[in-house]
Amino acid sequence: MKRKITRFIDDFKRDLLSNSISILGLTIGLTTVILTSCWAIYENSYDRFNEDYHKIYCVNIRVLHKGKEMQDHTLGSAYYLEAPKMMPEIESAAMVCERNATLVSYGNKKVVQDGIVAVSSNFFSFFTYPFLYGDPCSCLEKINQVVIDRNTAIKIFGVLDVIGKHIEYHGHRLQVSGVIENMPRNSHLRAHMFFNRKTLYKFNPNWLDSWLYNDMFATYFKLSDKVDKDKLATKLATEVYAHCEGAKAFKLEVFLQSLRVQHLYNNMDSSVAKQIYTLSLLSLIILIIACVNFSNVFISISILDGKKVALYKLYGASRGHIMYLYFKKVLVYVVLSTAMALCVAYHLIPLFNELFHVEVAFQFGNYRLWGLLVIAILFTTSVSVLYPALWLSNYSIIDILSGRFRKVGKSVLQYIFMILQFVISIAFMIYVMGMECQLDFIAGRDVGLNKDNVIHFKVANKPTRCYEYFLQTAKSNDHIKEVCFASTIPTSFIRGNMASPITDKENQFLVEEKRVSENYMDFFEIEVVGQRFTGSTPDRSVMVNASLAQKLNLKDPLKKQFFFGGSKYTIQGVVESVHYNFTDRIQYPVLYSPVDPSEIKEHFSIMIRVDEESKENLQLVNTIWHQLEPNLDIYPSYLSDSFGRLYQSQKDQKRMFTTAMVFAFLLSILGMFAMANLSVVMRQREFAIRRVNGATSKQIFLLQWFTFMKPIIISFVIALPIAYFFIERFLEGFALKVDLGVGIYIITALIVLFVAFMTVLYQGIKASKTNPIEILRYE
Amino acid sequence: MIKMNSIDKIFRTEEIETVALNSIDFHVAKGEFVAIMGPSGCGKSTLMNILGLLDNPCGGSYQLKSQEVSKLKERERTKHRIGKIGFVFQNFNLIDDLTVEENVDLPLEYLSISRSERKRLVAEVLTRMNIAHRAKHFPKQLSGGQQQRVAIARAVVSSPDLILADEPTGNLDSKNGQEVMSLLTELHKEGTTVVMVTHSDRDVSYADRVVHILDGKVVVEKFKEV
Repeated sequence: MKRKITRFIDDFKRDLLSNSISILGLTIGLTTVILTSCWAIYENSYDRFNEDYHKIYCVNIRVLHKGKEMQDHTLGSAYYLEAPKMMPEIESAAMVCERNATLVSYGNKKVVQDGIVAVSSNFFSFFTYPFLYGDPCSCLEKINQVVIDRNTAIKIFGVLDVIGKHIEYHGHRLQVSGVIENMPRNSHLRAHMFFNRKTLYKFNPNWLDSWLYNDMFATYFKLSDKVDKDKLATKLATEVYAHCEGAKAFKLEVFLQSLRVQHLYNNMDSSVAKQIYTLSLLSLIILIIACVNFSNVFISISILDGKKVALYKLYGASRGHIMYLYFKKVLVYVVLSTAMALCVAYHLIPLFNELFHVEVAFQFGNYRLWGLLVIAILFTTSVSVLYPALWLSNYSIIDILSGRFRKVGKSVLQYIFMILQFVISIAFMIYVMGMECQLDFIAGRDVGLNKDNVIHFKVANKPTRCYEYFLQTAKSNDHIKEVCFASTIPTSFIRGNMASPITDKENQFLVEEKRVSENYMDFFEIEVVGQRFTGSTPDRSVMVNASLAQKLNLKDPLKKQFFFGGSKYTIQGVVESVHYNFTDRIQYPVLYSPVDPSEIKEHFSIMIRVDEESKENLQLVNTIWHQLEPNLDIYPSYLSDSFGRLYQSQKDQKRMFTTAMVFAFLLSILGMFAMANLSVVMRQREFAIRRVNGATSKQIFLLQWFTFMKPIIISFVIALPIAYFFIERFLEGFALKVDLGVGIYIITALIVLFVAFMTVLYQGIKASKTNPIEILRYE
Repeated sequence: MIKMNSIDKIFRTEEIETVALNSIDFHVAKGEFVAIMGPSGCGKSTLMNILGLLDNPCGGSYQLKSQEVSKLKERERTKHRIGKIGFVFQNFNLIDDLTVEENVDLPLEYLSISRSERKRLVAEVLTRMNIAHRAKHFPKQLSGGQQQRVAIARAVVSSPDLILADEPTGNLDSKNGQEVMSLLTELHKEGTTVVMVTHSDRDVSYADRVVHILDGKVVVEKFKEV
């Protein structure tokens, strides 16, 4: 064994540079695979801590009216109560209803508590969350009982054992009946405070009795084994029709999703699965480039090793045996690279999390990770060894022993491999540049309102008082220019209600309702045709955007009426349709209705225009707020950031491709460097003869340089249409597209040529400095 | 042992056709020591490649131990070759990263011989070649003569019927060359058939018969004067 290690080290040292590059390349490729695997494993681990993970299904419902999807609905509470009684295949059911962040107090202590959920009494026996204090089975049996997590207990009470203490929530006095450990990071439910859903009964009895309700509810069933999910889903829909008269006007589609599917495919912002697939594909491409790179360098190293192959063959080794020998050799390289990749990945996890906004942990004990690693090692070894082994084992003994083998060192396939690497790298580079241009383009577009220098926040306690206080402060503070409020900030959509023309009540469509302050249009500098809102605006007199007017078939919409949520509304003004998000082709119909400051709700946003977007101004807003309410925090942020976040998935995508591009390019350059290095060694006799026959150093340099520039130019020509195709596909996702022109192609070409030039510069100089006398004497 | 009749070997490229062997007849009896001589490019190496079943002739008949082998596929040629033909090269062709004993063990790896038996055979042949003390060394640590002794050990370890030696003393000084030739003679005396390509008149003197080749044809055949 010791001798084998010594021999490997000696072998390694013989071509130290090329071998180091091979290992480094494979390490890069395998690091990306390990990081992606860690992420995939992490996402796949969601909710698995639940004892009955495989039995739990989330119930989703889609409501269709005349073929069009309507408001998001979920099954109402009645469903959760009645379904298990009617259908024996449902073992039990649980319900969760998310609540807005609200002020919670304990004595003088006031906190804005987020992650509040109203849940069914069996929630903690249905799901598995570890308890620090209290009994999971009985902790929510009674109304006005509440369970909090570790952080909340510390935040409100300063200690963990708080069973029996009371907190104030929305005028309710809730008694703490349990303290749980903070919810695991891989739980699809993220909450900090849980109370019995019956506590809400006083607000709205429908929450308990309805069969169909809006999207605030989530219903979960535990199903017995071997249940036909499709059949059950049909049965569930039938029960809704039977018990809910209003549902008969719609077509209902019920579907049961396992917790895994719910997490991976049903994420609202962008599918987790899609991101995993994209990153997995990219890391696979990088790994393949690394393997190609390795193969390329390995062929060159092995050419020097050709005699060995010939002798093995001479004494009876079959092609299979030769391949097996190479497989073993490459396996050592790959295992070594994997060990290095594990170390690198371990240290890169924090950066990876920050870069891709994920919370991946390195789980050394996870058998899936090791399983994937074994697959990665075998895959990498097989791909890396395939061509060198096939190629080297295919040569005849006579060719090798007579030295003809060496002459074919510059294999066509090696050339193709190099081109392949650069095609991918260049295509990535053009694609990333295209993405950057498009994202810059839409970020600089006029969205139809003045979004600059606007700070927004929500107030959990007495929002009217807050609004008026800021309104008053604006008069005396130079930094604060204007104040307004609205039910949502411009970038947020809470689907409003169904609207229809007055003449065609059946032609219903969904309209977003924004409840706004009188000065909203002036605040955002939105042009209004018709009457602006004033204090004397009559009830149900609203403004609409051009898109809504068009959908209502109103050529002259002013003072016309339409149905909205079953009531008649009158149009007093029309505004331009605002392009909130340029990824959407549709300009959604929006209705603006005025709200009196005395009616501001806790979920409304207060918006303040300041003189500039600075941290100081955010701090200023906080300071002013604390003058009014020292014990309660607000979280102000700039509206422009909210607009920026609209393209988060595209930005994430760009970040992924940029990372892939950097790795692909780095690998290609490393490969080229190694190839150039080997080329100088293999062509030194040729260079010496050329020198003897009159070639100047410059000519030798150019000869060596052009050898490597040629594949770059070919790669560029091949990469162009590929990149163009993918950029066009990316741009298809936008309503407004940037005109890319030829700029990005020229810039990419210049960058690639420059980097490639620098890569082969050293070897070029080395080749040109060859002393022909020494070489030829040696030969 | 070897019966070659009207053997042709022509190398063709797109533009050039080179006749390496031109209807050559070549016979070697069992236990004979034959030397092949001739100028560069006359076809010696081609003949040796065909003799060693590394290549097929384009035409003619080649019988090795009364078996027609001229049209065998590579796999079949390997089957006929392993353990039955030993090779000695001018440049030794030892594998640099294998030790002496591993190099010698190479031909045995592909014969169904147990590990212990292989070890015994290697040790035996190394002792016989007077190189056993260098068993754990690497080829680069040996002199030219020692390297060639290792190469001969490798050629004979499987007790082949035929040894093909391509200028075995070409890279050696006269003293080491003589030693190598003595080893080959010893093997020949024990009954092994030896076919050797050489340019050296001194080496030729060890052979029973000398065959001169020119332009792919046997031009002269001389028997050793007893």
